Amino acid sequence: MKWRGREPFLLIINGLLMAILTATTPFLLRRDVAGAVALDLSALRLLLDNYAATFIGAVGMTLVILAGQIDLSVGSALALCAVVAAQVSQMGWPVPLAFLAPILVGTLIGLVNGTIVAYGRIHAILVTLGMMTILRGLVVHLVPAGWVATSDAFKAVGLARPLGISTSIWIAGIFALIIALLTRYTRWGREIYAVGSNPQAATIIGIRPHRIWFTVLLFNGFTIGLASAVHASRFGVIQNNIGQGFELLLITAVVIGGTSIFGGYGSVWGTLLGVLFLALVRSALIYFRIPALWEQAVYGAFLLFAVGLDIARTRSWSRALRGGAA
Amino acid sequence: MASPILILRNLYKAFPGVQALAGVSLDLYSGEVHALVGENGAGKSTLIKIAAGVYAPDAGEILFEGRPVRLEGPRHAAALGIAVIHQEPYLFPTLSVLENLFVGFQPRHGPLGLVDWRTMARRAELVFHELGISLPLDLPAGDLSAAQQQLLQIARALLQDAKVLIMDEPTSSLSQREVQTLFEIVRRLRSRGVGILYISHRLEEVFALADRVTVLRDGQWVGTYPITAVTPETLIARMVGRELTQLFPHIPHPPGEVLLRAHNLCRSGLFEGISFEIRAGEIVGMAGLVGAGRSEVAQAIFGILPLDAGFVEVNGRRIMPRAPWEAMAAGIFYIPEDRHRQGVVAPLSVRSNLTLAILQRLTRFGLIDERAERALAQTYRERLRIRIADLEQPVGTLSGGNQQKVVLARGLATRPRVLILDEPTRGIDVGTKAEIHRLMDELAARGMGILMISSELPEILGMSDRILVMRAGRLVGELQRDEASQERIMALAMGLVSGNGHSDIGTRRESA
Repeated sequence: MKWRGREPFLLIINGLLMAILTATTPFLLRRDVAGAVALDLSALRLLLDNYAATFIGAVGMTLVILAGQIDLSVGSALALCAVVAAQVSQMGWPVPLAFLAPILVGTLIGLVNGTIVAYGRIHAILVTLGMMTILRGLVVHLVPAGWVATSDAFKAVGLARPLGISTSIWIAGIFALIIALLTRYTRWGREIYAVGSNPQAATIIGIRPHRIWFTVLLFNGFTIGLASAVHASRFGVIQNNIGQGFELLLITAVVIGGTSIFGGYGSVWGTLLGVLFLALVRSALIYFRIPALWEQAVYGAFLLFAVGLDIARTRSWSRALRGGAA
Repeated sequence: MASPILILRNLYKAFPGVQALAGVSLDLYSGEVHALVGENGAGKSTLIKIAAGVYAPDAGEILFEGRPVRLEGPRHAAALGIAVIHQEPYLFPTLSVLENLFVGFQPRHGPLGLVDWRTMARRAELVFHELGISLPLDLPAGDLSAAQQQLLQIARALLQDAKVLIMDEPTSSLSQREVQTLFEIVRRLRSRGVGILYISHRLEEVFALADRVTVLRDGQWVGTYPITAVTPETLIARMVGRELTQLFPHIPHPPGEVLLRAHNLCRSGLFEGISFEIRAGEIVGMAGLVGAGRSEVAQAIFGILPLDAGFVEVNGRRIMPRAPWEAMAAGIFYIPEDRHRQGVVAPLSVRSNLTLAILQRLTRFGLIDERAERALAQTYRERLRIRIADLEQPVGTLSGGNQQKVVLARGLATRPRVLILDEPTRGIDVGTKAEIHRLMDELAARGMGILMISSELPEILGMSDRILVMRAGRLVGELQRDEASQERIMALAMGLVSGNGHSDIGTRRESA
């Protein structure tokens, strides 16, 4: 089968961005005092480390959007889970608990989101928007000082580099690989696509859309728990405003990665390339000393552009399927 | 002869306000094409939805391969071997052809039960070969033509080892050549031993394909006949052969001057060459099968659907309405079929709904004159006998009949000269129906021109001064009140006779 998606195009764009950065800035190549050029991967590594939680979160968001839903609570959920991770890490318990606790909390949040959306039949935008506000309030309440510190043992795990690659990247990489395979080779994965593509047709075939919507939102909660554990383990201090705008970042990455905002089409690989693209754009803005406030505008422009492409594609499909569905 | 593979015995099914099926039976043998015919609303769709496991019957029995079954849902029916090709394909436009073929029953392998893509591709190619078709497996289904989507559904049914294939109007969106391909495939399936239940409005297809035919009328079983024992004429007579007992209040009077003249209206893919006129004091009925393009013509006249060609002449002035307000300004008002989607604004009060279309007239210095509004609403409430406790009651809380009256009153408040009613009494209780008919007669008597689209033949016959019949996007006939009968209208609507009166099905059958 030949590629029909956006992945090859994104690969090229990302390659071009890297090439431009390499040529014009000390991103990959560094000149020493003698003028010799040496390969220096530290900047790229740091970039990937910083975006590990985003990679993980974007994979979960991909499933949610593929199923035709949305989760706006991920930023606040990330903050709450990270705070929980930091506080548990300070309690002197074994370090794995500091990873498990946020995952548990995240899964609980996903459970609530999924239950209300799927079985209360309330639109996901409303439910997760409400959840977003509630959780942010909870974070502020839990962290009256404005920040909490993580324990050194917890941080030691986060900053470790087994086989030269940081724990964060290991976790993100393995997680993404498993989910990518899951979406292609399991019934659950295929039914996510089917429900997102045409819920009526899925129902006729005997798939239960609400069950799928419940499970993806539940799973997204788990994902955010994992992302926040990874995130928290890399920092000594968790501020109560972390994760603000995280939902928009994830949605932007997913849509730039070629996943249709209307559901039913896209891939985890595309999302990973979409996150990498946003990360490289951010690096470029920093290297070229463009003020940080432009970052949001640039991301927004990319989001609109990607959604525009998406709408054009979806229209051509629903024209072909006049009346039938979509 | 072997026993039937599928037996539906004495099925009953009611929906709120309608008895959709009352004691319908049907048996289907392996290797036969069994056609199911009947007017709009005869119960065909309900019957196939029961056979497909979508609805459960209120009473009656389903036997599959001689054993009674209770279908738990579509997946259960499919697992037994009952597949449905829906009229509007239920597809996943964003998913590939290969995936569409197998959604819900992908072959899996290994201890983890992973989806086996290689087996899927192999089995798909086998079925394509068997059907003598070819579709690109990796193309999104949304990129396929209507005919290809149809083939995809048939291939999917075969992959599920369908022993019974239910085809609901499979040719409605196919070209002549594609229809021939489909017929070829249906015959191939029949010789393979599949039992095919074939629903079609096109009698020439029924005679070209079917071995037996079952006729339904108003939810009741009329009869099952070998195809050799019936002619198109006798079939139609059985489809419409009800007695006309209902009384209609319409008293025809001599029509006045021409109010609206439609000239060669055309909208590609929906209708073409539509010309007719409506005179003052006249009720013109528009008959035809669902999908013949009647509502579309009405919507085009009202400016909802843009016209590709043609124009409308109102009071001698040519207009090509591009938006409803333009049509309203010319004195036309259209009351849509679907009250809930296009008619009432459910959360708003009866008063607000009534005056929604004429707020401009009620406005003084940019503010709505509430007293005038209330007075006007009160007038229409009395005139149409809308049963409400209070004008401020939300329309959504009213009965269907009263909602329809509100919609009607709103249209009348614009004081149109031509009123277009699309299925004005569908889903309405008998009493309200009679009131609406009486009102229509009264309006016509005062010189209004009315175009009434209806799928109910008794209503068409009882209320119309003149009857236009549409079929497949064309006007195929015009009958005067005294020359019209159920049989003549159905014969026109089903393409059995052309407008000038002689049968053309003989030649069709040979070409088919």
